[in-house]
Amino acid sequence: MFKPGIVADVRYYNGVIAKPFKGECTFNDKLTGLILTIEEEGVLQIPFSELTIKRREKLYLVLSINSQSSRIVEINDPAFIHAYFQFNKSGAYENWYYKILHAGIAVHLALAAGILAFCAATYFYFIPFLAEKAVDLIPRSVDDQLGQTVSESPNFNDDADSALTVELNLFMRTMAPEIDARYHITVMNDDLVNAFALPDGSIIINTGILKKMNRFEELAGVLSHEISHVEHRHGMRLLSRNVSGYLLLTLVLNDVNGLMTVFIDNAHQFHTLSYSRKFEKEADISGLALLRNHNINPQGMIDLFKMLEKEHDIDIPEWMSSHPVSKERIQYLQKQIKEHPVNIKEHHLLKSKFDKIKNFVSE
Amino acid sequence: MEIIEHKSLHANPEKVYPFSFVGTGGAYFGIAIVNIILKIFTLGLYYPWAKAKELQYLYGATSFDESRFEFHGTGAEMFKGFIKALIIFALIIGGFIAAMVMQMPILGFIWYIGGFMIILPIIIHGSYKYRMSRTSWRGIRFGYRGDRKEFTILFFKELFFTIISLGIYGSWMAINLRNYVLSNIRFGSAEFKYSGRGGEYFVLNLKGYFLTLITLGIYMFWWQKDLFNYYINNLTLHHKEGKIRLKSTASGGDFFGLIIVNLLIMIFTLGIGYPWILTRTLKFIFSKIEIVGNIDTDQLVQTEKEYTDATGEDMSDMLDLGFVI
Repeated sequence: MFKPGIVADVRYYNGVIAKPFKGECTFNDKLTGLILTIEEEGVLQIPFSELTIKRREKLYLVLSINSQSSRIVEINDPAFIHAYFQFNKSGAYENWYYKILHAGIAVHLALAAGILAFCAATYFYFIPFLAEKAVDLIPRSVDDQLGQTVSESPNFNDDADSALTVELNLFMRTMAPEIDARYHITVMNDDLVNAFALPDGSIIINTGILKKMNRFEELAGVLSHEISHVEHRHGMRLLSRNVSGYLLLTLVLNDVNGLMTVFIDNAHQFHTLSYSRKFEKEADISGLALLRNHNINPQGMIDLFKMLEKEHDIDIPEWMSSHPVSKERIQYLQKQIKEHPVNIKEHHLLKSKFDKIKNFVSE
Repeated sequence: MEIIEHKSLHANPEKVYPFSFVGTGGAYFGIAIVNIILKIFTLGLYYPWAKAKELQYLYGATSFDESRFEFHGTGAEMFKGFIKALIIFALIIGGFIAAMVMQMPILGFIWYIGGFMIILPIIIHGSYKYRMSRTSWRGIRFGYRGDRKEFTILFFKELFFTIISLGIYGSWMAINLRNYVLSNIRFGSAEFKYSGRGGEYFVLNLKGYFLTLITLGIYMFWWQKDLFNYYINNLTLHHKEGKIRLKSTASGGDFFGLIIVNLLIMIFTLGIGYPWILTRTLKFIFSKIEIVGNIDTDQLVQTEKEYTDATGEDMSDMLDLGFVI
């Protein structure tokens, strides 16, 4: 490998003028540095440690002299360049870095695949795990604050129906007297068939959904579903999950171009939907348990979803929806009911309260 | 007049300066991959070093008159700038949040928008100053000689006219800022000069906008070509009596091919082909710039000081400004 007295032609720039000075370059006797013989400038002895590699290609090496970085040496001799890295042990880092850079496209693609797998594992497993742990550390009062920013916002109660609100709260307290004081129903005069819960325990029910109900068990089904959302802190979980997912994505997306950002962003939305479907299922199943504990016929919940299915008769594929498709929903509910039989009792009080509510609604 | 003619008789003969980009997508891909790995393991803190590596590669792969350019900014410099930039951003955003919490949204918005407005010209100034001082060719540094105060005043004057003209003055603003910034760039003892005119730029944009609408977007490529040509063709370099002119030979069809192929690479590689897009774009751009003149590049002399504050560079990154003007 080593040819004694190996000499290369170099171009030297003195950092004062752009004119190239021609010269020759060789290694010193101890092979610890270079000896440069440059026209007009004379002889320069520079140890390797005083040189910085500015650019390294097979046919092109640029070195700068540390004491004055604008003095540079250009070498185009491949044999000399090769020898330089044989003798120069102080360039270990450059060597290591250069080796990876020149490991070839196959290695780089393998590394890229490794990065993708690592990011995917982080995104699908590690981040959700951390997000769940984070929720356990966050006190419930934060959920309350989060919900109150909505439920106590100035125009929130504009469409509220105060008489129905009173009746529904009475219904809920009669149905499940043991539940926490945080739960409070507000009935909105809105024909949209909808009901939802906020993290602070506020449950919003539209008159639209009340109009569609025929039996008190359906109302009990909706309430137990919404109460379960709050009990399981689904709002907070979704938020924590979403924020942490976004933090990771922004870290990665910083590096990625516009089009990719759109792809990943949309994929993230859909993934969030899958998470939300998981929560819906959880709320359905623990809602059923709540009904079971109070000896209420769980069939009401199934009737409710059948009604909702008729109401939203546009077929959206499940992966595009925040809720499970009703058919599948009805199936797993029926399975649950079979597995956990309910000791159904008469609920005259709930029934009469429901009739009263229906009277209010139909007026 | 006679003296000038007399001098030009003694000037060097005209020549065409070779100018090209010799980087490859494969090499750049390697750099990007190593950078991403290191960024992941340092939770993003490697970012300034990664950026230095990428710029060093791109500059070093650009060849002018048989010699390469060099970017000699370092990760450490840019890391300091990165931290300063983070603090400034935290102040602006923190002030905004504090005002929101204290129920003073108007004050918050003024602080937020005002804060970014005030730092914008400072960012542009700082990023040029740093980037130019860290760029060299045959050891001769570039430099930015613009004055921060002067540029800030110009920026707000132009911004004021743009706002009261409901944006119409925007073309003049862009060109006046560009004239200022580019004409303050030094290449050792040589000086760049940009001589664009807002009126011309306005007509070009107006034409581009309406023809793009009429042709359902197809004219966009020709508009892009016009913008590129306007940038390149108005740029000159002066040294003593010598002068170098830049001339673009790009056509609308060239841009059409470039952008469509880039888009296809992007879609079919799901973005992983980005390094190839970048390198082929640079190859394209540099191959379409013809540099002709009579400056003897060997006679360029070191004149510019070093400047190590990278805050502007990092902030322009965070706001995704790139090189705005």
